[in-house]
This record gives sequence, C-alpha cells and structure tokens, in this order.
Amino acid sequence: MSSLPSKAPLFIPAAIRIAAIVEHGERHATRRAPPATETITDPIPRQGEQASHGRSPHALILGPASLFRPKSRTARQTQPIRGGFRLPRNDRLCTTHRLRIASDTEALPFQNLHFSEREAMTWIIIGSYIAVHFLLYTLIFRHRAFFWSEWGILLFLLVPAAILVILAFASFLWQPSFESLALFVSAFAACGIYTLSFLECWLLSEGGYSLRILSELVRSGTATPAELEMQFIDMSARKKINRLESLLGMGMVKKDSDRFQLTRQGNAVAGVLTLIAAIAGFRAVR
Amino acid sequence: MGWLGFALAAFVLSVFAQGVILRVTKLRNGMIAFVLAGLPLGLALMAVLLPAYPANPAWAGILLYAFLCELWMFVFSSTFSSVSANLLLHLRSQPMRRDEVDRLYDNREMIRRRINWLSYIQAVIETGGRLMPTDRGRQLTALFDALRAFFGHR
Repeated sequence: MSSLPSKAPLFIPAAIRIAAIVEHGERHATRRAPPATETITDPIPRQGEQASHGRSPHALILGPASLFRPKSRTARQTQPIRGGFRLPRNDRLCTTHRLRIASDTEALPFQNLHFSEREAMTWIIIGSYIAVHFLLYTLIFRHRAFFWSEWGILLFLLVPAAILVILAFASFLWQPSFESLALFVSAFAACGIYTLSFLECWLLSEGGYSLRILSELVRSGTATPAELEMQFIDMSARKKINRLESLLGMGMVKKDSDRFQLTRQGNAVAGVLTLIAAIAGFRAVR
Repeated sequence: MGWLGFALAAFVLSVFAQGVILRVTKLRNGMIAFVLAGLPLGLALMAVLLPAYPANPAWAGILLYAFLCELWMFVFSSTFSSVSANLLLHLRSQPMRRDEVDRLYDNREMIRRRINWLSYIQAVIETGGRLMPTDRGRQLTALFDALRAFFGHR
C-alpha cells in the first residue's frame, strides 16, 4: 500500500501510452519500425483497431510496460524487436506477446515452438494423467494382488487411457479443426507411448525364459549347460503346456480327435502374425 | 494434414527399410534392424516437421511416429520370441498331435537356445565347459530384479 502513492505519477505516462495505442496503435506501429512492420501482418494493427473500440486486452497489456520505461521515451520512440515492442523483462505477459509476434511474422527456422493456451492445457492434462497414473500404481495398486495378473494390469492401463483418448476425441468433435485433430493425435500418441512402455516393463519383469536362466546363473555363480537343462526342464515343459492351454482357453486352438488345429479366430491371428513376419523379414524362433 | 502424412509415410518407410536390412544384410536381430532404419527416418521427420509446421501439429506428427514405432517393435518382438505366436504359425501350416508339438518344442533344445542367446549377447561366458555370468549379465539381472520388486512379481 505504501508504494502506491510513489507510483501514482507513473500512471500518468501509462495512461498517455494506453491512449496513444488506443487512438493511433496501427499508425504508430507502422511508423515505429518500417522494416519490421512490413512483416507485421496481423497482431499489432488488429490490436490497435480493437483498442479503438475500447475492447482490446493488448492495450492493457502494453500499458503496465510503460511504467518501467524511462520517462523521456514516448510511444513513438519505442523501439521494435522483431516486430514487437521493446518491453521490460519482468513483464511476462508482454514477453509472451512479443514472442508470439516474432513467431507470427518471421520465417526463422524453429521459431514457432510455442504453444497456445489450449495446447498448453492439453499437455498439462496429459502430463498430469501420466504422473497421477504412475503414482497411483506405485503407492496403491502394485500392492494389490489383482494387479499382479496380466488381466489386472491390462485393465489398469487400458481403461484410463481409453477414457482420456475418448475425451480428447470428444474435444475434437466439439470443435473440429486441424488444431483439434493435432491435439487429439498428440494425446493419443502420448498415452500410447506411456501405456506401451509401462506394459513392456511389466512383461519384462514378469520374467522371460532367458532372464530366469541368467538370474539363476548369477545366483549360483557358475553352472554347466547340462545342470541348467536339468534345473529348467520342468519349467520349460510347464511353459509349453501353459501356452497350449492358454491358446485352447482363448479359443484360438481346438482339439479335434488327437490333433490340435486352429479355430477361425486363431487362423485370423496367425494370418496377421504371418503378415508381420513377412513384412519385417524375420524368421520366427522356437 | 501434411504432418500426418509425413508421420505415416516415415513409419511405413521404416518398416520397409527394416525388411530390406534383414533380407539383404547378415543382420538377424529385428530390433537392431528397425532402430537402424527408424532412427534416421525419425530425425529426418523432425527436420521436416519442426521448421515447417507450428508446434502443435509438428509434435503431434513426431509423437505419432514414435508411438507407431514402439507399437511395431512390441508387436514384432512378441511375434519373434513368443512361444504361443510361434505355435500358432506352425499350426497354421498343419494340425499337430501332442507328440509333434513336444518334438517341435523339445525342452532341452529350448533351454539350449536360451543359453546360446545369452552367450550371443555376452551376458554369460563359457570357460572350461562351465557358464559364468559377465558384468553385463549381472547388470541385466540387477535391472530385472529391480523391476520384479517394483511390479511385485512373485
């Protein structure tokens, strides 16, 4: 409160400055920096025009900046920076505005790496989702037996990801535009990357066959191949039976008299796998 | 919409290039082949999208490419290494009896293949007929154990 009286006189040039922008914004912008203003297409002139109707928020944005400017400077003397105004560093609104003007007007490479408010909000939501999801798993769900199973972890990963993607899609449908489409694709891809990475780590930690053998070797220090074979032969047989039973359970394989053969569903999956193997050009191993 | 086309085209090219690398060279590791193909294409995609498009669509294209690449690696590595997937592929060619399945997946042979793989990636070393873990193998096991502990696997 005590600083108010001392700052009060500064509001006078500020008011003058606002008035100058309100009345002559477009003209001043053109006069101030001929080379730069040639590239200024939209932002400053439009602000000036809007301000003349008393509705421009930018006039208010620029106003406080003049509080920090030397008294000898007038609006006309203000120097342009990349098509914007020279503004104090501590005026964040103005700095953001200046960057936007620069990016809109100059064709420098990588100069348009800024996000709009809506885009920033989308990224905050996606980042928050990932952080909260991971924290919930770390603090609560990994201690629950249900989430140790494949179905449990799949539900835990896919249900919230699907909800987020559906919301992003609904947002796209609400305001269909290329910008919304890009936001939807970003949300979908970011969720997909996180979900897949999580699932891969989970599957890896569940223990591949090779990793179990390696783990046993590290534990015992040394072993002959024959000793390892003896040790893991039961596990190998169990794994094989489990796979066959799980394929039977999923309805991909059926037992016809004494032979196992694919169902229609199994045939479709095997067809996709064959196609993948053919495209990638690798031979499957046993 | 160009960013979407660029991202999809880059992914298709990566998969195609992986197939070419695996067929033309002696390389047999599909993952390495895909990284060799996908990494330069990903960098090229960034070089195309970032200067030419606003941030939002440019990053959407890059993220989409990254997601598709990860999905592809997940799918083909599962196909490549999964016993279930392999069994499906064999059953597609012909129905099999139980003893034929057993012969196909001979237990000892399955273990031997894993040991050979561990030797190939230098996680174990054979000295005087005995297998010993290398430092790399110990690091892998430590990572594996940490993941098991985190995810609560028994």
